[in-house]
Amino acid sequence: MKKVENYLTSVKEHLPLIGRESIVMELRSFLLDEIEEKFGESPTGSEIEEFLKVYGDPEEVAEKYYSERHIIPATYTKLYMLVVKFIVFAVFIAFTASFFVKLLSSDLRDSQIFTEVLSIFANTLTASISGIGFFTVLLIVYSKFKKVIPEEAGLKKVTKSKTGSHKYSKDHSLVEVIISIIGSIAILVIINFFPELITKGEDLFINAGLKLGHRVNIEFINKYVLVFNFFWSVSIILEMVYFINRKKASFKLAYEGLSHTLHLALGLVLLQSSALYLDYTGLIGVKLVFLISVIVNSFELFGFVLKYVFKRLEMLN
Amino acid sequence: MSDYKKITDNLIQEFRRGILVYIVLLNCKKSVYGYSLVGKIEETGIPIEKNTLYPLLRRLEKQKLLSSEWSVDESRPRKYYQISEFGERVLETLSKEWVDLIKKINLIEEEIK
Repeated sequence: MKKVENYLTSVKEHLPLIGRESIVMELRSFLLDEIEEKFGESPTGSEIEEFLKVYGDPEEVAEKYYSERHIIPATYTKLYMLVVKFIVFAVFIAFTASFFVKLLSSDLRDSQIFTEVLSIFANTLTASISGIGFFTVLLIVYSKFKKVIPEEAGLKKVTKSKTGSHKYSKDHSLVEVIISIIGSIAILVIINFFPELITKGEDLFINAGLKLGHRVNIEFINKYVLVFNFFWSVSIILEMVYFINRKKASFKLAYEGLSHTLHLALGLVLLQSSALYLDYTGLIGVKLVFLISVIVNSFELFGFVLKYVFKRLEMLN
Repeated sequence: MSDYKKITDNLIQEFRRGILVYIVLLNCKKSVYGYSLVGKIEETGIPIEKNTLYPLLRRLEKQKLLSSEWSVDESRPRKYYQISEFGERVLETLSKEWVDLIKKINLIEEEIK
């Protein structure tokens, strides 16, 4: 019955957020009843596949669960969501790029940098709201003038089948975890056994004709090596435990929350530790790497919190 | 597909769509589960699209015309639907309207003969 579950997962992706769990539960019951009635208690894989193909494309099946009264018709929902995501992403990239241009072209102090980083998120929020609002109004007006033909009951033909072809997005995060484990191990090895590699890396940077705003204080790393070891070990253990339990959805959620919080906390600590940076004249150097890490992890943590809130809302329904 | 077939098919579908709620309410006088309802309707010779019927059951439940209950006594959970008290009242009005409509259509047909 894995094919049925894959099919249900595909349907679920296109269902309205509110009440999707109960719709999937109902649909599972309907489909299994019908499969059993038609093919008995042990249907073959091809029988199930053929049945699901006839039942309908997951996206089209899901669309039928949308209420008929919509400001924006259900047929435009996918396009709407795509454009919304694009607006937020494009605005964020634009403000981040503008921040880096400002950072490299002017002499920003620490407090100014912090304010500028915060303003990336604030500006992204306000500009996204304006952009999404404008697009929403545009789509509502367009929907009023362009009549959307409601789906004719029973006249829709199955043009394509996604049955059994759903691939979980787990694969993507799995690659991230593997890279993260390798990266964490590499950092542990460098700070414990070859800290001078950091200085050599900086020398290479300078020899290439580039300008460094500061150097890393190796003494500081040696002094706090136990703290770093603790952090990176926890990080590696967390990733390995996740790697083993990656099929458990609840574990994935806990891992994401813990991992982003942990990395963000360390990034902030390292960013603020002035003793770590020698001959400080500017941000370019390891501090910039920490700053990027803080920005990325803040963004990911924000996304994670949103995802968690939506999941809770979904469970409430 | 010829124009004649295409147009008549569309119109027949529209007919069926219009009375689908009525048919479902009539068949939910006794407690039924999704697939058994499909069977009951199809036995009367009315073909039905299941992927249209199941979302409809949900909508009728939301409108409080049907009540539902999950049964866990069987091999797997099954949702049973039955017409609600409010649904009965709505069905009564629909039945009267249906009978009235047929009478009027018959009258029109007799007039033009």
